[in-house]
Amino acid sequence: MFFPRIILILWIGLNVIALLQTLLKPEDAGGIASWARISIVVLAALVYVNLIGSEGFFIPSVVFALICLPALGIRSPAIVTAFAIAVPGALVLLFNHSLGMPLPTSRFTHLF
Amino acid sequence: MLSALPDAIGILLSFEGLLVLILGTVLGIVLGAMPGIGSTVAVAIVLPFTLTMSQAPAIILLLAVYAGSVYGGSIAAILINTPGTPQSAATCLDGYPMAKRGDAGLALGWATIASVIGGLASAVVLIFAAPQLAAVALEFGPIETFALILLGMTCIVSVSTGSVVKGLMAGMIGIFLSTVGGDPILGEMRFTFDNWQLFAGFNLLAVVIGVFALSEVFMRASAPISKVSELVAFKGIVLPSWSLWKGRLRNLGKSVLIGNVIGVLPGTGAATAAFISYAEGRRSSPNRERFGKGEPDGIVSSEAANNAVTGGALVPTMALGIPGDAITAVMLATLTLHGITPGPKLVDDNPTLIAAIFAGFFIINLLLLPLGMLLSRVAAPILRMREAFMMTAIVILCALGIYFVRGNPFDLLVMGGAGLVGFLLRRQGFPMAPLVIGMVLGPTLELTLRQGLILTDGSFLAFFTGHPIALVLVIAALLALSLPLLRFIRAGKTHE
Repeated sequence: MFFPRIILILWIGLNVIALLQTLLKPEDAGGIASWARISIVVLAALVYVNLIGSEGFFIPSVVFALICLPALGIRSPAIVTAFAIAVPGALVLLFNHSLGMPLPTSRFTHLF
Repeated sequence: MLSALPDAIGILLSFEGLLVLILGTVLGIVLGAMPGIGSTVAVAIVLPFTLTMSQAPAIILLLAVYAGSVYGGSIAAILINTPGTPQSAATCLDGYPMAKRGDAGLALGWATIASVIGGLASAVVLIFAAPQLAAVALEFGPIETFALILLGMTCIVSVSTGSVVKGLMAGMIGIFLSTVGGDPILGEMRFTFDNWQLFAGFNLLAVVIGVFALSEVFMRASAPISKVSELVAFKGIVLPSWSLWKGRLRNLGKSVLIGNVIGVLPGTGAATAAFISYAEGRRSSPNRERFGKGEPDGIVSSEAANNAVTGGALVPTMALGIPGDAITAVMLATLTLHGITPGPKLVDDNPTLIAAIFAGFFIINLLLLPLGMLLSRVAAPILRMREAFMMTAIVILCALGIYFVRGNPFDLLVMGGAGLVGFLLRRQGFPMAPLVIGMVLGPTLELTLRQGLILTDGSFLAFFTGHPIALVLVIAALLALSLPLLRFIRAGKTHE
């Protein structure tokens, strides 16, 4: 623990300087345009990466795109659905069936 | 290294070699042209897919994406007045006004030629300077290497946009993350909490992708939704005739020189070079009054310099293992992930690989001309694509890339966590490049420090009394660290 301890001491020192700087000259981190949008995107991404291992690549990717695209301002259901199926579908076709490098599959079928 | 050239050319002319040269340049140009992606994210997206390749094609693919994206940034800068990469911000100043008055093709022609010449010149600098610099550093022992890494760490100061203290703190977080896992000397486990997934430490790739690519998506989701940009009329690149170059070659040469010199200095980067070169071009050009109104010299100054940085920035990365900026930090991480130890021994230990990288980098810059002419037409409609599609695709590609490498779902969690932490830190003004630099250089810093302490019986002072090179390097590191402080004091005095 010799080296991590040195790093910790230096980090605490820098924290003190940063704290003093903030007290002397407070900074504005800038506003969030839409809390709902950022919350949806962050949560969707975190759940998505968590589900790939158990539910396969295709289904979580489709669900993620179906949630993320409207949250980021795409309003047309047809475009959202087409993109959500086409992009993960093309990747599954490419990796699983053309390149022979299998991506994780779902519990329902070995095809995707 | 010259003796390895035939083998290196064999690698480049193989099917895989040619494929990565062309595919990487194409990907780089297209990704670089998309506003908001930038060179670092472009390289980070492609990185996981290189891990199934052999060493030389993998590194060449990333170099092609890097050089291609720096050029690609100019397409968006000229056609929609939004730089695809920060390096192309100076190109907007004259490129867009020129495009607006109906000369978009010619503006891109100036940018293409300047980029190719800048890139080729930087390839020559890389080929000649990197082995020389490595030869000097080859005799270094653990103490000198420790001092060298310490000096490399100080480039955190220059890559820290905003607060230097926050940059240093991010660097410390990176070093701390690198200590998770086995102790390099004693072998005992540190900060693993009995989780076997952490015994080998955090997956560097997952952290890099998380803090650069995923956090970028979160940052964009937290900003107002951008509108689709207006595209100027564009029918393809028109190369400037020889007569148009009259009186501009001096400016081109000067811009190439500025880019190369700035590129070699750790922590400066292509954006800085482009603006310094633009300012110098404006100062010395006979057409200075036309700068900002669509003057070709402005485009040449910016594009020649930012592409000339690419090879220069790789010199300290390859020769010393010191990354110059965020992109070279990712490149350094790539070398490590491929089992290559960057640093002075790199050239001696891997002559074929290095020869292939150098020759490949030269070819990539030559490819920018034909591929740029072909792809600018394809890239133009992509510029109108809504950001939402790009951001969603980036998350899916990052997840796929991370899973693809080891098939380990834990890496996906690390990426997600790194993305969230990266987003929160960036929101508070912490730069991410120092975190990656700390994580990449941290293990060598620790190992050489502890080896040095064993050699000197635990005396840190003895590091410098018997090792003049280490002393010089540490003094240089201290000077580099104190520069922002001096600037701060000087600014205070000016204010008074």
